[in-house]
Amino acid sequence: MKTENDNLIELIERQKKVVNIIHEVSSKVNSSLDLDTIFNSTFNLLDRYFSFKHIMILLVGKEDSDQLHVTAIHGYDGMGVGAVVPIGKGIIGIVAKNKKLLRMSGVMQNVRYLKAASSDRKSIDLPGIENCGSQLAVPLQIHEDLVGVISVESPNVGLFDSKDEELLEMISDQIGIAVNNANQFKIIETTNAQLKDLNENLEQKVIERTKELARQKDKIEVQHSLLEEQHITLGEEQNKTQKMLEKIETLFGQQVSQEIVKELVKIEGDINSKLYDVTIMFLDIRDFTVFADSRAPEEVASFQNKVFGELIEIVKKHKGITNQILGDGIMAVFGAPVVTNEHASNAVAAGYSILNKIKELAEKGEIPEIRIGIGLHSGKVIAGNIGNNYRKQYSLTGTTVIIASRIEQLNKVYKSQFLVSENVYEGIRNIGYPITELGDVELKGIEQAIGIYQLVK
Amino acid sequence: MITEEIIPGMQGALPSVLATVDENGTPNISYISQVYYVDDTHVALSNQFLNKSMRNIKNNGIATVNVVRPDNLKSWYFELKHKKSKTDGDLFENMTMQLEAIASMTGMEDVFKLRASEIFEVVKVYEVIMS
Repeated sequence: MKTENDNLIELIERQKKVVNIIHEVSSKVNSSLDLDTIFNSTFNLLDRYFSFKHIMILLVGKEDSDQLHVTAIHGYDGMGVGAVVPIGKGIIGIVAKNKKLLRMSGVMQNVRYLKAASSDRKSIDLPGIENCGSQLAVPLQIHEDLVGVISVESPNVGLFDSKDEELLEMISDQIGIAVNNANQFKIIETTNAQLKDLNENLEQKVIERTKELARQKDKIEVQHSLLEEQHITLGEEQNKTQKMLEKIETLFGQQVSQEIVKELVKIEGDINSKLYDVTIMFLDIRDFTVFADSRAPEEVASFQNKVFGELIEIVKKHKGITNQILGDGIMAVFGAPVVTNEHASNAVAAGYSILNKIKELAEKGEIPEIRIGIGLHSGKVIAGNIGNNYRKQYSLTGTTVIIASRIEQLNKVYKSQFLVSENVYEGIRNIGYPITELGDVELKGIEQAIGIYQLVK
Repeated sequence: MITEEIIPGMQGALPSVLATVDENGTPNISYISQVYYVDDTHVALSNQFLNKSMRNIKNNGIATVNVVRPDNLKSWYFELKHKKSKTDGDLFENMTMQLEAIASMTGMEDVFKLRASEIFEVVKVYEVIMS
């Protein structure tokens, strides 16, 4: 017979173990953000101090919040991670549903009892040991929200008692904190990335408004990243870069993406006149003069700013350069001065993106409903820097430019919005855009008829 | 009254036998899956299919139940006096959860519903001596 003293000693021994394990688990939680590490060392401690041989932690699914996913296990021969428990099914599922711990003994006996008492309904497969004698499952919560369940089980009947409930509740608090920490860390990381993104967008806006200031900043940023990438030491090289940047900016203004600027600096601003394979885009706003005549000048200006601002951004995004802004349209080039084989597909993607943007702006009521025409043609142009020291312009010449312009005009004939030449079609035929062939068309001033394709939505 | 030694027999490992008697003195016994420990003078039974037993208990307020420890097969009889039927509270919720957990494993959560937890005062406990 055990004396009262024996019982007290046993109780003190247990309390000692509880204090130790909580201390060890919480210091692990405080020192790590890696859930796997925390889970596994918790399992090992529970096994070492309390001989819990079968432990698992399940977390609520990120996409499927009505299911628990087995995330970490101990003592199931390494099997079971990834298994799923629907919330509301079995001991673990019920604990999750009710957010209350549950201790059961004779689990399998009870299941058999119910099976015997009822018809032949199918039992469902849930992760766990085959002949479960006792099980204790405790919800993992962050404040009031369920994040998962920790479960211990044993083939022996009546193994767990109310003291184990208390212990596992303390452990589950610690695990909850660990999961929360890990989640918070993830949120902070994402927020940081978003902030960084926002910052970059803001920079764009600031650039538009305070050109000078932003230019300086961009220069520094570009220099900085170039320095990092190429390990350029201070001195001569930097001066060169600086000069390059100035030269590029004089030529292209703000209508070039940072990416292109970097590329240009890499090719050392080799933008002397030479032959390029490019795709030229002409874009025209239909009936712009009618629109302009019937509106106040401020309204027209705000419309132009809005629409052209967006267009230039889209062109930039697709590695193009808005070369000219005409009153009611733009001309853009893809493939020069930075050479790429993808100029046709970039230009087509930009065209689609522009059409969508215009539609979106009109739907939001930010601009009146307008129709635009886009014409694309790929071919060779002479591109380069024409002008004097005060005013220089990056200029494009060649029949390619004229043909692109004529194709854009064809939109009026076909009542279409987006036409491309056969050359452009060659460059995008593998992409699978929805395309209608309109046949060969003779263009004003061009000897040979050109195959024209309409891009449809 | 219910000593610590008995508690392992109250975890549902082995079914218990519940004995009642009707107004004519006809006895009725029925197997129940668990006698729940409430405190050292009270136990609870789950009322799910105990039609006849509950009729008898409502009639005269008394029952006898036996519990068995699964490890050494020691067995006790409890003489019970019915106190009340509870359909809320921690104990009722815990018993409901246990039933739901088991029922949902066999796809029968819609069939097995806990009607009430029946609370009894333990009037007398005696160990069954096996010869």
